[in-house]
Formats: sequence, structure tokens, C-alpha cells
Amino acid sequence: MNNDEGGTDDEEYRVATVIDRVNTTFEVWQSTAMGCVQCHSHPYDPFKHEEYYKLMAFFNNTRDEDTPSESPVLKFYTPEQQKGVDKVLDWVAKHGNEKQHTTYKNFLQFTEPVYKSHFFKEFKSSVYDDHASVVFWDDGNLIIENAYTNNASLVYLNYRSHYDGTKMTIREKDSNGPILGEFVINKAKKNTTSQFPIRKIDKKTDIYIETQNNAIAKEVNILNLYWIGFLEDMPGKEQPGWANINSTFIEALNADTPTVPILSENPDYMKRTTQVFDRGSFMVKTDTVQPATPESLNECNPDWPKDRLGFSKWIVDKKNPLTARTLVNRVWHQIFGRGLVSTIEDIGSQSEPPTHPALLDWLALRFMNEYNWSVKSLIKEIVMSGTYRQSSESSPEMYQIDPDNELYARGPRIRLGAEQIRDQALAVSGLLSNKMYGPGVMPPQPEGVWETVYNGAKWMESKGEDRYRRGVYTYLKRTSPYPSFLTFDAGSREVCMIRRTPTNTPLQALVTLNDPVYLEASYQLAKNTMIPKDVDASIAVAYKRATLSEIEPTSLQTLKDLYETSLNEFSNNPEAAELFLHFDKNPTPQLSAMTVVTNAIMNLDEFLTKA
Amino acid sequence: MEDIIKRLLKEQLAREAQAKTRRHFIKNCAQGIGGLALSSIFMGCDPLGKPVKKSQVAFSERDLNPLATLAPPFSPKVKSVIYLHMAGAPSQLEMFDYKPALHKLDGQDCPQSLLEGKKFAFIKGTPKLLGPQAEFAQEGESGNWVSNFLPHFKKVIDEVAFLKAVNTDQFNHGPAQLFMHTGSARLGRPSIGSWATYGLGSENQNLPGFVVLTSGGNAPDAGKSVWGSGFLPSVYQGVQCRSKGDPVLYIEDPDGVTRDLKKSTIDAINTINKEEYAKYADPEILARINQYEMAYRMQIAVPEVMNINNEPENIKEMYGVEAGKESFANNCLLARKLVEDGVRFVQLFDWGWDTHGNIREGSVDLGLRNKCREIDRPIAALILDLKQRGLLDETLIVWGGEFGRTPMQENRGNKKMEFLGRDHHGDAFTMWMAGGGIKKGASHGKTDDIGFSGIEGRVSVHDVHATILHLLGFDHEQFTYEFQGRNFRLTDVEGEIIKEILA
Repeated sequence: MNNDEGGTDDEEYRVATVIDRVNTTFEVWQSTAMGCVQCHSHPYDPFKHEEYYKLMAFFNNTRDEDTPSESPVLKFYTPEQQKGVDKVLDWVAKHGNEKQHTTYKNFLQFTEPVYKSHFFKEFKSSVYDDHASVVFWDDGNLIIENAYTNNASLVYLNYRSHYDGTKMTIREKDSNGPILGEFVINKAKKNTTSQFPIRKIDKKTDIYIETQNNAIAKEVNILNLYWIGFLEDMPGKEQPGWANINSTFIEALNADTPTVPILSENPDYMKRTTQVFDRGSFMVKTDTVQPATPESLNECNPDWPKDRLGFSKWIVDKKNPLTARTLVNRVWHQIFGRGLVSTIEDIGSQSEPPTHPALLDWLALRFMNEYNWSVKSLIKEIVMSGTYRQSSESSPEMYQIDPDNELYARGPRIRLGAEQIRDQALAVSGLLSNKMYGPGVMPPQPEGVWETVYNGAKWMESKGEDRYRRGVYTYLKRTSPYPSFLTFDAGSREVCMIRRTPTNTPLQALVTLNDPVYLEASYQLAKNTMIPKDVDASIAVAYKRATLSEIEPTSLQTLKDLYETSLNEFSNNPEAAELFLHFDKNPTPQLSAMTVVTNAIMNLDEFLTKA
Repeated sequence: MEDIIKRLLKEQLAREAQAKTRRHFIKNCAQGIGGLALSSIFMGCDPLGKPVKKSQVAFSERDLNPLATLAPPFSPKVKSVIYLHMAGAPSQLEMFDYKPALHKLDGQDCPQSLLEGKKFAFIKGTPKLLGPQAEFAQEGESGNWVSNFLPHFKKVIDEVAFLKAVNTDQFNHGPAQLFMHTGSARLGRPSIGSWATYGLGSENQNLPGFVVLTSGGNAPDAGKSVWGSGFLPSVYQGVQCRSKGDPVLYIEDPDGVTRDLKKSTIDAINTINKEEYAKYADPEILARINQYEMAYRMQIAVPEVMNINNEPENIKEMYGVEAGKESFANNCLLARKLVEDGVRFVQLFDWGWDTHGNIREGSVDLGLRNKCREIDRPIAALILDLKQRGLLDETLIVWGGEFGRTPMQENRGNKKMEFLGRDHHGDAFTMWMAGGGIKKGASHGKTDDIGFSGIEGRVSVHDVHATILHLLGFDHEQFTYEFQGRNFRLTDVEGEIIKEILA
């Protein structure tokens, strides 16, 4: 959602992100189209316009602000680095209170709260550049409005400094205000976090910052400042060993680590106010609102904090009428291909009515009270039901009477999802890796599909078992999604997609017929199931492994004919076998022919469909 | 609270009544259409070995084939669209929007009144005005202006209707491209080609209904989302046909597999799937049988249509094609072949129009002239070629970028730059359309003396979309898709048909 092209308004995109979070949260957890209420009171469901913004107020106080660094980002220290971090935190725990411990832990983990450079104002001989830092020239200055220094005696700066001897002056209020700090910043090519002494003040005030370096020509970039932070002093300053701990702290702040973007809450002194947007327009703000949940739903316990944590408690409160129904309905949808309320994204007054309202409520209550929200128990309950265990066999008459199987006179029959189709092909061929966790992987995809303008990221094809991991580990980029997933309706995840719309297209057939991933899977399946000199048994075993059912004699005959045709072709043209199974050292016509057969099996409706 | 409940109850009853009638209606229709479709499919494959009674099936042709041709609600002016997008945003001031006054003001400070409250991507402080870097003349019977950067274009200028005062509220490439193609600057909405194929299906079932071709060495900044299907089913997304590798992903058989063997494979799959249908009676199986046959035919049709080598020499010459390369000229010729074969929507993106003046290629004098050279002959050829085949009347060609460029010279970092360039500018830029239903030689809209703002006939991106949908036979206000609890339109809540350029 971030957008950091030249000239975009960070606040506009930050607000868009918050709106997306409100809408997504309600779709995911409450099956409610709250997006409607952004512009006006809900035309059908009992939600008022201002209630949208009261909900938004829960989400509107996170530190992320559409910066290119995607901050705040959680750092992952190496065990060696973590030792230093632990030393600092042990010190703070020993000499300080719990609040100080949390402050230092947060700062070490995700470097917040800090004032980022896009927040600065009134630039003179300084300029906010490319959404990341402020460039200072000689005699450059700026203002940070309404900042709080936390009564700290040190200021933290994150910068790159291009020369030695740059003098920075920090003042209260403006260029004539009392001096808070004066210090010299020396050359640092690498992005650096350092601390400098300041005078303690315990109030909110505008902060004025100025740089001077007379040795450098005018209008030359002397310093890039990324953020400025005021951290409550580290306790135990009078104790022996403080200086050591302090330098360990600075070292940890500058440690090079992998990161992942997270959300973190604003401290009180950085809280944003939330206003109603007139007719949904971010440009026209009206009444100020406080965090609150919609009146027509369960009450929000006044003891819960007015932040995302409190909001999450409200969601999973057993008095919430929507959460358990939403989850039960979604699991039912995944198992039966159709929810008890078929519009799983919306169970409001405009949705399809539930086909079995009592069942939905019964399952929702059991899910909360007996299964203690265990999705696994819920799935077990559903898949062990007589309804689920029915045969999916049907007749045209049954289809005509009940095309969507709303009456459950037969078992479900649904095409597998994009990731499942690939996973299943890998699984039956014995290629699937069971490796769990870790970063995403890049399984093979055709050359030239991965295109990212500007950032130069590359699709580095994974090696070894990483090529064969479950689809959930496949690296995703919204502007260049994994092609075969897209073809099988996975969507590109630009907005929350509660329900994928399954389609049936020739491009899907081309994937499972021709994509090298499926070819390799077919080859492995053929190789693993070949029984020498027994074509019938080989086909039957491969079929059973792929579909978990015995092959019908007519199907066996059809596949055997295909085997004979293929064998004939490959025997007459040994080169074709070598081209076809180029990854095999010594491809026989028999194995090639059996690979054609297993590829056909992997294209059967029975293989692609759960029945 | 009681009021709400009463109202909800009343509306629910009304809705149920409505749903009943609607369902009744659809069911009746579906039987008719479904029966028709099935009989044509079963003629070839006869899945049950016995005739199927029409009354036994209750699904529509769309269930079997989501790209089945549908008639639009109103009488259409065109069958297909070729949309030529110059990604990066071409300078209207060097191509179509002639501003002699800007010549005289060249080098002077831009008046503060124009800068107040405006945001630019890179311009800082007070920039200087930059006169047109091309020479202009009035051409054709229409006497419309075109610059000497486009010498071939004058041959077709009387076929074209200009929009001289298009505006957008986006000034960065990604969001502006999304806005131009999906009606929204943020991700998640269907592109115009997806809407068209969703509404009309495809005329040729052996080719994708919505084809995308790119040139200029890069894909558009907004990525594949500019031809994405958003919340529409993914079958309606644009299919990128490539110049290198498989023209369509996985269209080529694996090495060593002959066409005959592929046919035997598909026959075996479909024979077993037919048995499957006898068991489960699930119409999705019939759809799958159909899709596998289509895939087989597509494997022949796509490489055929994507091969320009067999075109006559005079046609290749006319477009200026470069064999074996990825070029805008090749893509124009492909676009003609695709619409000729019944593809609904062909989207061309040509990258490299972002003339900031930071590099030689990106300058409004030298770089732009080269880019114009790359598109000038092919575009003229495309219009003339369609015309000589009688296809221009049933095809709409749209030309434009995602925004225009400033009358001021860019001064990135508040400094004079090495080459002459212009910054992004959304207040006023030029687009044009040609083909069926378009008033030949028209020019709508006017910008002020320096080309900063539209002063007459200002049109928005939504207006452009409303007009394209109108020509395809849709009322843009009625053409909706329900998602997240409400009906979505390509034109959101805006858009007016630009009648001034309609024949």
C-alpha cells in the first residue's frame, strides 16, 4: 500500500492504509462490508457514518506513516548480537522500572517512537528529499512541531554525514529559543544512529534544529537526517559499568539485521486525533471522534484499552454476535465450497440468507464454548459429519433440483485452489518438501514474467528442496504474481479477497499440461509407480496414488491406449524421449510414455477436484 | 432501533420478492441458452453417448465458457478496442498542443499564481517556462495541429478526434496509470479491458479475449495491475502475449511431444472426464472438457496470430516492423491481426516517455523525437491498415499517456538540469481516439496560452472511460459488478460521455 514516488502525500497514503485495515478487519472477522460506511451511514445494516471513524480511531494510532523504510520494522538479531541486547535489557531491568524496560526493549526491537524527517517543517537551506531524509546545507534549519523530549538528557539521531565538523544546534521553539544542545557531527558514510547530550526539559514544544559547516561551500549536501528520537534516560547512570552498557546499546542500535514491517502503537504524546471525513473524503475533516465500537453490536468493555488490543478483545468477546459465525461460515465454505451463508464476505441484511441458520448458530456456539476457538476441532466436527461423508455422486435431475447443493443431498465437489493444485501434484509425485517456516521461496517460473521497474529485484530460482515447498511459501509480489497461481484464480492480493471466484479456462489446462513444474511431477509419479512389464498395474497404482481411488476398467483402457500410442511414438523416435525427459540421464521410451499417462492423470477432473 | 428493524424487514421482503422473479427469469433463460450451447458442444463430443434433453440442464453458456460472446445492452459502435498507452507520459506540448505564446515566454519565471497550491513530482521553487521544442503545422482537411516529430501522423490526422484538455488528479506514474486503466488510483479495481471482456466475452474462442503487448524495454510502473481483473473473475484479466519465449505462458508443448501425441492426451483426458460427468453430473466437468479442447486449439491459434513473419512485405514495410524484436511497430501489426481475429481488447504499452530532462533519452527535444519516431509510422500504418480492411469502423483506437507534462522546464533539486525536460502534469494533456463512432477530424477542448490548464472542454479520465464503454454498447452507469456490499462501476460515481467527439 505504501507509495513513495516523488511528490506523493505520505499522510494520504497512511490514511488509505488505515481505511484498508478497518475494511479488511471487518470483512475478515465480522463478514461485514464496513467500506460502505466510510462515505455515509450503511443503507441496510445498522451502522452509522460516524461509527466508521470511531472504529478507525482504534487503528489510527500506529507509528507507520508511509515511509519508504516501511518503519517500524522488527529487527532480527543474530544470537551474537542478541547477547548484547540482552545485556542492555538486563541492566535496565535491574536498575529501572518495568516501564523503562519496555521502552528500551521496544527501541531495540523496532526503533520507535522517533520523529521521522517527513514530519519536519519550515525548511531553510534544507529540503525533505525523496521521502526518506532531510538534506541540510550550511546554515540549514528546520522545525519539529510540538515535540516531546521525554525529559531526556540525550538525543538520538539517525543520519549520514558527508563531512567532518558539522555543528548542530538544537533550540526550544525557534531560532531565537533557548539552546537545548550544541554538538559536532563527524563524517559517517554509513547510515548511523548516535546519541548527543541535550538539556532536560519536560514539556511539549517546537524544536528548532540548525547545521553549520563553514568549511563547506553553500548549497552542498552536508548531512542527511532520517529521524530524531528522545528516549527516556537509561537508568543506573551512577552505577559502575553504565558507560559500557551504553556503548553496547549504541552498538545494538547500529547492528545490521534482517527486518520485517510491523505495527506499533503511538505513545500518548504522539497520539493522533481522528476526525470524521465528510462523505468519505480525506480532504474534508469534520467532528473529532474517540475510539468506539458500533452501537448495534456487543458492548465494548470500558476496562479494555482504547487501542487495537482492546478492539481485538471486543472481536473475540463471546458476546460478539458475528465473529464465531464468520469463522464457522468460512471453514464451512472451505470444506463444502459454499458457506452456510454463501456470501462469506457479508453476513449482514444484504447477504444471501443462511441456508441452515440453526446449524450456523449451533456450530458458532460450540466453536466458542466447547472448542474454545479451536479451528482444528471445528474442522474435525464438520468433516466427521454424515453430511460431509456422503458420496458426491449425483444425477442431472439432482443438479437441476439443487444446483448449488443447498440441501446437502450429496457430498461437496469443488475444484482445488491454486496453491492446492500445485501442492497436490508435488505431493503425489513425492517431490513435496515438508520444510516449514522461514522466508518465501522462488520456485521456477518462465523467464521474463518477473518484471519490476526501478528496484531491480530479481527472481532468484530456489535450489534443492526449496523448489518444492508448499504454495504458501511461494514469494508473492502484488505487481508480479506467481503466474500459475494467478491463472488458477488466486488473485493478486491487492485488496482483501475473502472469496476467490473459481473460473474454468483453457489457460489453466495449459498450466497443468505444459508447465515444467507439472511435467517434473508427472515424471516423478511415473518413475515411482512403474512396475516393470506390468503396464496395467503401473497405471492403476499411479491413478490410485493421485486420486486415492481404484481405477475404473474403462479409464484404465483409455490410459493404456494412451500409453501404447505414446510408447509407439517414443520408440520410433528416441530423440523425442531425450528431449521430453531431458532431466533424466537415460530416458526409456517406457518411462516417457508413462510420464505422458501420469500427466494425463494430473489433468483429470477427478485430480483437480475434491469430491 | 425499532425503526431500523422495521425498515430492514420491509426491504428484506421486497428483496425476496425481487429475487424470486429474477431467479425465475434467469432459470428460464439459462435453459434456453444452455440447451443451445450444449447442442453445439455435444455435436462434437457426445459425452453420454445419447442425446441430451434440453430440460435436463439448467446452466448458461457462460457456465461452460466464461468468454462466450454476449451482446451489449445497447447497439455498439465498435467490436474491439486497441488502446495505445505511452507509459511515462508523453509531452503534449511537443506533439499536439501547439502553444506559440509559450515560445515567447521561454526562459521566463513561471508566474507564482500557477504554482500556488500545486504539487509537482520534482519541480522545486520557481521554475522557468520552456517553449515548445518542436515545430507545428496544421494538417489535413481538419487543419488540426501536429508537430514535425510526427511526420507520418499527418496522413491519418483526419481520421482522429483529439481531446486537448484531459485532466487527471494523479501526478505519479503508478497511481496515474492505474487510474487511467481501472478508474481508481489505488490497486484492486478491474481494468477497462477486463470490464469489456466481462461484459462482451470474446469473438474468438481460440484466443484470449484481452491481450496485452508491451514494448520499450520495460513493463508499466504500476505492474500487471493495469491489466488486472481486480474483483472480477480472473478469467477476464489481460493475457500478456510476449515477443520472447512462449507468446502465451505454457502455450508450447513440452519438447519431444508432438501435436498428435498432445491430441491423444487431451482425448484420453476428455474421455475419462466424460465418464466422470456421467457419475457426478456436475456441469463444471462439461466446462472442463470444453476448456481442454479450447486449449488444444489455442495452442495452434496463438502462435499463428503472433507470427508476423508471414505478413506480406508491403505490410511489414508499412508498419516498419523489426523481425524478432520487441517493438511498438511489431505490436501495432500484432494488434491489427488480433482484432482481425476477433480479440475484444488489445492493450499496448510502450515504455520510455518520461521526459524529465535528467538524461538524454529523457529530454523533450532529443529523446522525445526518437520516441516519436518509434511510434509515428506504426500508428499511421495501423489506422490505414485497419481502414483498408474495413475494420476501422468496428474498432476503436485510443491513444494517450497517464498524464501530460508541465509548460515549465523541470528544475529537479531547484537546479538547472543538463537536458531539456518537463515534469509530470495532470491539469491538461492530450489524448485522441479514432475508429468506429468517432467524429473524424474533430478536436475537443482547449488549454490556456501556455498549456497549463484546460479552459474549454475539460474532460476527466472517467469521461474517457464512459465514452469507450458507450462505443462498446454500455451505459457506464448501469454496467456494474457487486463487490464488498455495493455495486462498482468503472467510472465510480462520475463520468460523462464526450459527445463532442462522437460521429
